[in-house]
Amino acid sequence: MDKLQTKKEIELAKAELEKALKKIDADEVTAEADLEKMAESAKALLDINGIC
Amino acid sequence: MAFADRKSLAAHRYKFSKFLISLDGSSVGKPGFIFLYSTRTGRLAKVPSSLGDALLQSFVDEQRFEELSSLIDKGIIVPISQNEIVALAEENQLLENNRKALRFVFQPSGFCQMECGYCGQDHVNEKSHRNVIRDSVSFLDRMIGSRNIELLELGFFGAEAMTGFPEIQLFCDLLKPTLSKYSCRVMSKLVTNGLSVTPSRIAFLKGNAGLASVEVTLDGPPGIHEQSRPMRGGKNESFVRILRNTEMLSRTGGVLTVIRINVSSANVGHISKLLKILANSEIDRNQATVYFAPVHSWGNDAHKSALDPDTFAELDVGWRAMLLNLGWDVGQLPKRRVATCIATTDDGWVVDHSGGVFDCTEKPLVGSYSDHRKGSISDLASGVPLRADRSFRQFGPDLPTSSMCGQCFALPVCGGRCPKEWAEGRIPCPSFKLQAENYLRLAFAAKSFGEKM
Repeated sequence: MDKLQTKKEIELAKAELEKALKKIDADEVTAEADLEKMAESAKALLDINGIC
Repeated sequence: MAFADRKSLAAHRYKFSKFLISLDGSSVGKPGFIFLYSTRTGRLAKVPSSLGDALLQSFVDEQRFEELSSLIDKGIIVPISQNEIVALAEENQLLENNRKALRFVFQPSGFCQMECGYCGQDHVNEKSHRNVIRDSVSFLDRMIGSRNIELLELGFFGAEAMTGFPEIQLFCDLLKPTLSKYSCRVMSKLVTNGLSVTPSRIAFLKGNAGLASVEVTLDGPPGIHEQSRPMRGGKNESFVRILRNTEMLSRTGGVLTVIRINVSSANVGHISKLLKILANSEIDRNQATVYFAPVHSWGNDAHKSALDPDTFAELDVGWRAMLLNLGWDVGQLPKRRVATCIATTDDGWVVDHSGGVFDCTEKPLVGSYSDHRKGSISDLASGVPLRADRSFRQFGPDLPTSSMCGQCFALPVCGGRCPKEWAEGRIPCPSFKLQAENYLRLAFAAKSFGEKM
């Protein structure tokens, strides 16, 4: 395992998260946000679904 | 749960659900509010930061029924007397009973062109015999008819399922009259290494097996992917071929392409490079998604090269954010999980290429699980019951009393995740549990991105 490379990947992931979250448009953030549809969509966060 | 009238609403006292993710509104540009997301309903409410138990009770006293109804509908609050864990289990059972569906995973071949390091299977150059296929269909015919099944959920799995494509064709051809006779719908998922998928094969599966999704694995950029998933016989340039096939798959209308990336200490430092390649490829993002899976024990020690769960979860959410920044929303919130998996239900079977019946896709072709075989498809087709009980039938009913799952906000979307992992002494909690607030923030970010993508 290249520990330095892993550390860099972790730092990169953190930076990407911060970058994404900065783009949240407060006006889009409502209780009626279509998050419900996100949870029902075909792209809903995938995990184990019968074939592992 | 529904309350018909204000009198009923006023008759109860309420408490906040235990299945909530709570997000401070100031972290998403809405100070003074808290966002409460219910994993039980998948719904969201925005409430004042000051809303606690006492204020909740005041809603009843002040007859703020519309607000109460909304919070109840969304699963944010429940009657104080409700045992939510029991209620969740009852809901799941009802939903399962009402589904009228069967799950059947068919392994048409024991062979795979690859020798992935973490794979626990002992591949053999054998295909499913005609009798195994006939018996499988005969069994399904009896089950669909006797249980009034309306939906057959098929899985085509391996080894490498596409090395048994003629066998899949025969299976589908023999199954067709059964589906027609009982007006039973069919929906299928193909899991493949991506080497041998062609437009004509996918078209066949769409037309004859209701293909809805195809899962392909890529473990890194060129070179890294091949180190993780080498091909037999020394040929080792599979990345480009698999990527091109994945692009083709994603452009197939009506089929979701799912790219799985297995993560271990060996490839973790290269995943971001892979994501950039995928984002810059010809993959149709509207019909494709990506998820990250930690390597796990497959009857072997593969899990020993997995990252620790907290690190994996931190990377998982960061990689999702990276894809979002590259304009690709791969989905941030999980679906409600009614049944954990095939092994925890009475209506799912896995049949390997030799006709052996299992209740878990992790078991076929794995030497250390050979005694986990539940019987043969020829016996099942003849009405002879399986020789052993399902390994984890009690897993679901036991969850409420489990010290970890029974108290966990993620239970409605996780379902305990993998009974085999728990049984073998490992804790399989998903990344969603460990980074829930960030997943929710990313969902808001994805919505903000929405129109711009």
